[in-house]
Amino acid sequence: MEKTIKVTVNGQDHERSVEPRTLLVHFLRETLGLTGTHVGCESSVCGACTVMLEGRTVKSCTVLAVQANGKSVETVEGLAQNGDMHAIQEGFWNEHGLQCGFCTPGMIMSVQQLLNDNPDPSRDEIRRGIDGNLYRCTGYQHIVKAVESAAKAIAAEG
Amino acid sequence: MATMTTTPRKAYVGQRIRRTEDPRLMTGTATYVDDIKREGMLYATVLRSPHTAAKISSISIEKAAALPGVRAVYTGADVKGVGPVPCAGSMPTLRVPHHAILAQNRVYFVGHAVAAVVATDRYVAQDALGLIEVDYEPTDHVADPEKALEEGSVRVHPEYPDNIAFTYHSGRRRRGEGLCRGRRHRQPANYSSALGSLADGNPRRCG
Repeated sequence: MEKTIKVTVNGQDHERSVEPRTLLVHFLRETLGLTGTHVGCESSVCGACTVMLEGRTVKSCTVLAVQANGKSVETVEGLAQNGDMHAIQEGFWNEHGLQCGFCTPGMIMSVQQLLNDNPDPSRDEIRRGIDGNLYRCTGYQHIVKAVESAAKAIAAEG
Repeated sequence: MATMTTTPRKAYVGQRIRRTEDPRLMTGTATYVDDIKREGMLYATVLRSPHTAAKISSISIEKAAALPGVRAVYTGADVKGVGPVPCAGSMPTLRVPHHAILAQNRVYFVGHAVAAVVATDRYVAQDALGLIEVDYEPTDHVADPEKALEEGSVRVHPEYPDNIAFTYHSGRRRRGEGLCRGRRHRQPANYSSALGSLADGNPRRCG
């Protein structure tokens, strides 16, 4: 009944046997132990489980692990390189774009998609870019500033 | 006059500071409650009411309890000796109905916890919920706060004669009466909040 799948997560290959109904988010969190990706609503509403599948954001609570077979997945754990945080993480840190941090991994993955598609977004475009991610601690203004800060830092890096 | 000497100190007021906890929160290395995994850990799921108000005429848990991997199924009858869910509110006139952790013979909101399953796997625990058979008899209900205040409205909790949780007076009444020439003024206000509950924020404290 179980099916063997091969998934490349943050550049590392994993081969595991899973029940066909296993959700990608549970595969990441429980089979691979990558708990940075969070489960908020289990219904695609909140965005806490957002990861990249083949370079595009997906809500991993509504993707089956078997759908990622033979594909690459990027999670929040893969962003920082050699202990250096990604510009998006720096932006969130500098601009207070988080409080409890539960939504932040998913939010950061959506921001990565946004900045890949549009390196210099307007405030409206930023708000549109993260509208699939809910934040409940306070408000979105600091997140918008964090994204602006990250976009500037990435542009300065060239 | 004494001379005041000041030692140069790093000022914090008015300065931007970066929170020390942020790096682990942003890199996926923080430990939230759901991230804790222990040897032999079991998973719980909760069956919830699809009705706003209903009597529970029967619950059958046999099929759920027989599912391989299920360790326990609980219903209201099993938790009769367990105290009510405490209410953190402390308004002086607040009425606190006895809200059991699992519904006792009736449900009074959509999502009211009716049964709980404990199993070795979260998917099995979820499967077991689908095997619990509950017979509900839907009853009259009121879900609109304004309508709930009307004369003759259905009582959410039969032990209370109206649907008022508490009455709150604000300000100094005497001064108010003077200013308003003895008339009592009411300021209608709507307050809404999502479902919420408080939990210990430190997962390591539990073991």
